[in-house]
Amino acid sequence: MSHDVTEELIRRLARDPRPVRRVRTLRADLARVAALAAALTALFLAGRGLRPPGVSLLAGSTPFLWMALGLAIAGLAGATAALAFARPGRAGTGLAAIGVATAALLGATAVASALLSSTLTGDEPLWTGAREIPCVVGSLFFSLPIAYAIGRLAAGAAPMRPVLTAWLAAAGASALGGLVGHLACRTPGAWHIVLTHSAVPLVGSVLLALPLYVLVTRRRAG
Amino acid sequence: MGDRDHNRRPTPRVGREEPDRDPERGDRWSGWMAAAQEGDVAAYEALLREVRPVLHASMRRRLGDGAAAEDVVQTALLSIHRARHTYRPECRFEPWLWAVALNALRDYRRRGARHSRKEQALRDDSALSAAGAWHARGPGPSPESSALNGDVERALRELPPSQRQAVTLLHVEGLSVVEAADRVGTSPGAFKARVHRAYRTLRSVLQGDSA
Repeated sequence: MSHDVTEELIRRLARDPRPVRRVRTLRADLARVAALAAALTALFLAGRGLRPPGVSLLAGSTPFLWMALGLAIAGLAGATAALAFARPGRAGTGLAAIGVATAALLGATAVASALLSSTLTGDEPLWTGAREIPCVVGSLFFSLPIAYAIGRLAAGAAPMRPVLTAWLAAAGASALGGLVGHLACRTPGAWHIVLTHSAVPLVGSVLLALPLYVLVTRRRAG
Repeated sequence: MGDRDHNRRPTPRVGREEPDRDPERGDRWSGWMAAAQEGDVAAYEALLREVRPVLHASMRRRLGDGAAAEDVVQTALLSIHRARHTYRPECRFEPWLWAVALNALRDYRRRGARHSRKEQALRDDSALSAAGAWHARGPGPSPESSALNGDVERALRELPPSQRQAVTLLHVEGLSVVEAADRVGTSPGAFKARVHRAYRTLRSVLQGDSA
């Protein structure tokens, strides 16, 4: 009886002759996410400018530059992982991307912390209280359009592990939003740009995961 | 993180599963899936027919149960259909296929873990056994009806027709959830929800009687 049902199922499925539009390649989707993040960053920096004192922060091996690199790589790798897990057969790419994202964020934070420790006198506070919060909130605000874009792209594929996909999309988007916030941040404090900015992807992955899960499962194909 | 690296690499799991497999099969399946994406009905049907026994053999080895394996195969076929737009012809087909199939297996096991205790308790419940007997002989009076059977008969009669049908398909006809859902033209998830509503109603009616 079960075999008959499977036969009938095959006949029914095969009777659905609608051509389907193939999902874009992972690279093409990732390029869209990167373009959106770059556009947001450029727009915001054009209006607000780089964190004072400006381009000197990017000259040489500075904590600011290391954190910018870490957030950018973690964001793109997180987005890659989310999009890979939404494509059957690409879990290996997703796992590799998770490794890259984790290593980038932890590595950048470690290098930036080491650089700061060697240059500061030691009386710099690690946490300056409520002044840190607007920076995180602003970064998460920039994450929203990126998170929506990753979520839509993932949902348009076949996210068979929607919880993981949503969480990775949230983490990647928050890292990219954190990059926008990092570059233009005005909050004083040497440790702020390392500790608070590295926390943005962690906070964002918690806060944005649920709405992204809803977005991903509402339209998921797999 | 290229697009082809993962899919171009042979998958050891597939190799272990089928050491004597047809070496040209992957290319043939890939071609059929590409044609199916363009709307080629014959290619799609040929693909699903060829894939089915391969999936069934693998699932049977993993689950040790032919009926359960067939359930997973049916779910996998539905998933293949829903996710067919995510296959790209420049990539190997089999890693894609096994990712979909193993996801169906994972879902099956997860659902099984979630529902097994409740369903098993109800399957073993003497009341449901009596319900099966009642349905097997029809709703008419029976000389050997016990008090329990009478309660069950009444409880079953109080179910809405769709819920009564769901219980009958599962416990009398012995269909799997996927088969029964297919029979009534709904999704397995919706069918399970219907069955659980029926269980709740039966339980509350029977508990009310015994109180």
